[in-house]
Amino acid sequence: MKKLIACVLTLVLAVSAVGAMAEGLTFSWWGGDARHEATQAAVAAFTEATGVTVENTYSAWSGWEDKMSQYFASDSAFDVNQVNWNWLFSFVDGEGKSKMYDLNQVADIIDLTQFADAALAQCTVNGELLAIPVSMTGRIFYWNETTWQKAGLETPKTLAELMAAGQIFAEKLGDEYYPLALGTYDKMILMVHYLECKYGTDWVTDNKLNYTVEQIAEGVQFIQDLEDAHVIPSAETLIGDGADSLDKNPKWMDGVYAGIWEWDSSASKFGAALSDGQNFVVGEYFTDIGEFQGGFTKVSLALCIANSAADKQTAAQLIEFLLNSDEGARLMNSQRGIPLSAKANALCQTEGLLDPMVAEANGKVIAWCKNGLDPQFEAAALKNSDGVYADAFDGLSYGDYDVEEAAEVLVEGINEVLGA
Amino acid sequence: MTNGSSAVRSDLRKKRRFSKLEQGYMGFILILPWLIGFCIFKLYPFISSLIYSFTDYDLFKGAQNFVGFENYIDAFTKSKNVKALQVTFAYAFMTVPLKLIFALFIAYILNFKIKGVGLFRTAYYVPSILGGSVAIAVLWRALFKSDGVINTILAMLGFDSINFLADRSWALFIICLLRVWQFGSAMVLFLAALKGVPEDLYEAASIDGASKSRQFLSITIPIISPVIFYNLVTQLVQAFQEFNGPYIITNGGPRNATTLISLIVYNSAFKDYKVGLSSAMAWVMFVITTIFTIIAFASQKKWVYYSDDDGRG
Amino acid sequence: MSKIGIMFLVLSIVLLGLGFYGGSVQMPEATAAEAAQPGAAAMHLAQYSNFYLLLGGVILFTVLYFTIHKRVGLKTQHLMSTTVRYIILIVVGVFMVYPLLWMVSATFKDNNEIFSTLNLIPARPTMEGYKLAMTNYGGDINIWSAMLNTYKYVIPRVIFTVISSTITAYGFGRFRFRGRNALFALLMATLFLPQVVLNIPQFLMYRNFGWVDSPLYLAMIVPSLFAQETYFVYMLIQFMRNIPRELDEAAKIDGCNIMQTLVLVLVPMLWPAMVSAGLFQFMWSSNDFMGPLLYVNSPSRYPATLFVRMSMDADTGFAWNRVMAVSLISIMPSLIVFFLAQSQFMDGVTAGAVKG
Repeated sequence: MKKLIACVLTLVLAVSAVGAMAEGLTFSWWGGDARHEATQAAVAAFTEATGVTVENTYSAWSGWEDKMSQYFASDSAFDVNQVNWNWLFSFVDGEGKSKMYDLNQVADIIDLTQFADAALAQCTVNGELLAIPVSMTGRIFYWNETTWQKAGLETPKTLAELMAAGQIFAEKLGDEYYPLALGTYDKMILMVHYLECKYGTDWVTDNKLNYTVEQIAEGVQFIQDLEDAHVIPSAETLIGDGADSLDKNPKWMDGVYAGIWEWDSSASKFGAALSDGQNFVVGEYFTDIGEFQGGFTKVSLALCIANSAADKQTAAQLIEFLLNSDEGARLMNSQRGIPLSAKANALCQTEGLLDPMVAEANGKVIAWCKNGLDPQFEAAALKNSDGVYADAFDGLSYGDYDVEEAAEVLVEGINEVLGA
Repeated sequence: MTNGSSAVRSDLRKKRRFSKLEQGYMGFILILPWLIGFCIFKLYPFISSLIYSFTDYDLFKGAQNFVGFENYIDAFTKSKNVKALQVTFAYAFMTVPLKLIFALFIAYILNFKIKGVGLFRTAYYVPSILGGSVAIAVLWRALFKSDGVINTILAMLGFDSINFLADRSWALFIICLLRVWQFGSAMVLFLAALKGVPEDLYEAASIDGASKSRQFLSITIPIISPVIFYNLVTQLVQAFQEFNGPYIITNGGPRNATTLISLIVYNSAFKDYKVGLSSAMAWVMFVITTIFTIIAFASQKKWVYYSDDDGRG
Repeated sequence: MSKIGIMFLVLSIVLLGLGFYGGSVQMPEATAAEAAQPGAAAMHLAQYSNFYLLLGGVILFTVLYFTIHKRVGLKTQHLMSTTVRYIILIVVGVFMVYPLLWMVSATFKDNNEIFSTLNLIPARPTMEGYKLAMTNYGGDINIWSAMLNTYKYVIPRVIFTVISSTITAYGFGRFRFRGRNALFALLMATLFLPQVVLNIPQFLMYRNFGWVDSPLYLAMIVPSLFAQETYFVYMLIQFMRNIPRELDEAAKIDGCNIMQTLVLVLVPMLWPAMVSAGLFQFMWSSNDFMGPLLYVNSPSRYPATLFVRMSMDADTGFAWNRVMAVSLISIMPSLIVFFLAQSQFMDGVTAGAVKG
């Protein structure tokens, strides 16, 4: 018996050791099916070109952040990782050292000149370039034109039109129909957009919130007005639909909800989700909110090398291939938004590989949005389904908070995260 | 070579003594794998989590400052945590009685000679095998969403549709319902126990003029009380640890109405990175579960009748 | 008839009357301005007519049952109670089984039909759900390889659990040694130890061992080598109590050593319990979600539970028939095993709890 146990344990340890010595790279990302296919093709091309094997790990966004936190925290992340922008600021160990490798060290392998300085600056923390930004993204309206036409309306160009549409939808199409659907995070971003259009200042600068409680209350009131005017469904209605996200919600797919406020880099899956015969179009920014062109752009996602990677040089080669090489650019095209890499961008444009809707939306976003974004905006404590944003907006919609209270909840929560 | 009786007796005595010694070590060796496993996989993590609960262990930053009881104070004062405790209690004290009552009721009805007992037993038991599987949680969401099957049935009866997933009280109710639907495992136990009650007791009682309900209360319940006790304790312990249902069906919503302690433990560790707080909450849950288990065990003397005397389940 | 009986009888007749009246009220058309508008009360009755009919019917039935039951002979009484038992069993049975039947029928419907009717038989049966369920996600994983992955760790786990639990139960059940009682108490205590307390330290520990995302699913299998599933050890000990010790002694006299006694004498008698333990562990491991959630990363290694969750997110849109098909396929093996081995299941469940 003892011998048996000893044998088994040795065998187990041996196999683990062998597993740890495997060659090649590991690469992780999240996305939808189309992105998976494109990325795998690109990685396969890399393997063909260099002979280095790459093991892929990928999944949908849901639950992915938790997983990646675990792995980065325990220094067992993959060699190359697609990261969300806020991870650059939270995946830091006790001494303040990042879990990601400083890519300035491999500037000889990755052609950093292809990327605008401003974009690289967003990914630089404490002088270290922690990741290469893949694309910039911002939020913009998208409309289901078919439903709007059924209600006898054009897609809205001004806020006034949107507000009026609420009642018209209810009368012409039925109580179930709404011109726009917003999840809690969508509400937060739209509110910030609204306030920045009115007042112009960035949301947070140098870890300080630039807006007073009164101003924020105005923003919250705006969101409440949307709900009161039957423009957006209540939180209760949305939760009752039983869908994890709007693109999985049958009411979006069948055109009962006729609009979303989404990142230009990930909106295509919403369009793809629509059932047949519906027209998905990019919307306009409203000029009648305020004098400023409010709204922020952020790095949509980036590629990094984990500090725990064994072979950082080869990992850098993979990133260079995916983002800057001709073949990589061709295969990855606009699956992650419009590429920031000048080479990739030019190539995709010449060969017409960019998804026209993504290009249109991204163009509008870049042209319009003037504000910056602070890294703590997407902190877990704020953005999670049990976080501050959800508490404030769901509480507002459920009637637990009135407008002032919701604003205070926001301010308190945000200050706590900023101060920490 | 004479095998005189004394020689035989001393031989036997030697053998017995020897076998006692042998027994002394052999038993221990047999359970050694378990003991080793216990120390590595249960004891060490158990103590680690206790230690973490007194630090500000962060998933990224590692430890480590000892913060004393701060995490525990948070566990009992931060509204989110207190709410989770309340919700967990509400959940446990709704689910367990309902489940046991249903199980006993059905077992009682099933306990007579009919054809097809096996078929019914199977039908009632199948839901419990599927357990907390993802597939069933997904099914539950499909049933209870605002245009789901249950609301269609309600509409047929004339009721307005109920927004189960978004209404705070109903959301917890459907999580309970998922577990109550799985009463089959408890029912099977009750059925076996009911079969073990001797028929003549009932006959004697009938002759004495006792009504059916009187018989049930005075004969059936006391005799099957060990099984009731076992079910009560195991179901209660399970209820306090519930995770899959709330995680997949409602993700703790709406407005934290279905956030049980187990969800807080998971979220604070993997979403907020606060392993210290997470461990403290886990320990709070453990202590609560133990308290209730001890209360249950202590109350045994009052209402549980065992057919033999050693008093152990 | 007793006063209470008369009261309920009247109540049921009233409810039925209201139900019938409500059913006959014409709901006003939106455009028919000339049609007589029924009053608010009548509107209420019209809406809830079905409910009142149902409620009235049930109460009437109960009253009649109890009234008649008292007045008839023993044989008829018996017949009546049997019928009522059947009715209750069938009604409750329907509630138990309907969700599953609905799930099966949903896999054969197309998406529009799923939520529009309650029928169990699809009006337009289609294999669309299953076709979509066969999707290969990124060429790495589909439902079949996910199922295979599940059994890559379920089967070793079952085998190891049964073997190690039997050995441990043997040690506790048949031997006396110093500290036995204390260790047994420890064993019982772990029965009530919530797994949640252990999750994170275990995760950190397994990560140090390098077992996370191991191709051999080490984090899932190794603990079962060490009899860490207390429930089964407990069940086997209970079962063993019913095997007379004389058999052990007889075996010893025949010259068996400890292990031979176990294998040749006890195991054959313990076999039903061991099989039950194996079956239970099979079920529980197949349904395990938290374990793979923490310890399996690569999609190519995803077991069925993670696959079901992933398939909900991965595709564009959301096809309920596909989701139901994937879910159904993932629980099929458990169902099949259960149906083939029902009696062992039931025996196993009762062995641990019911004495004598």
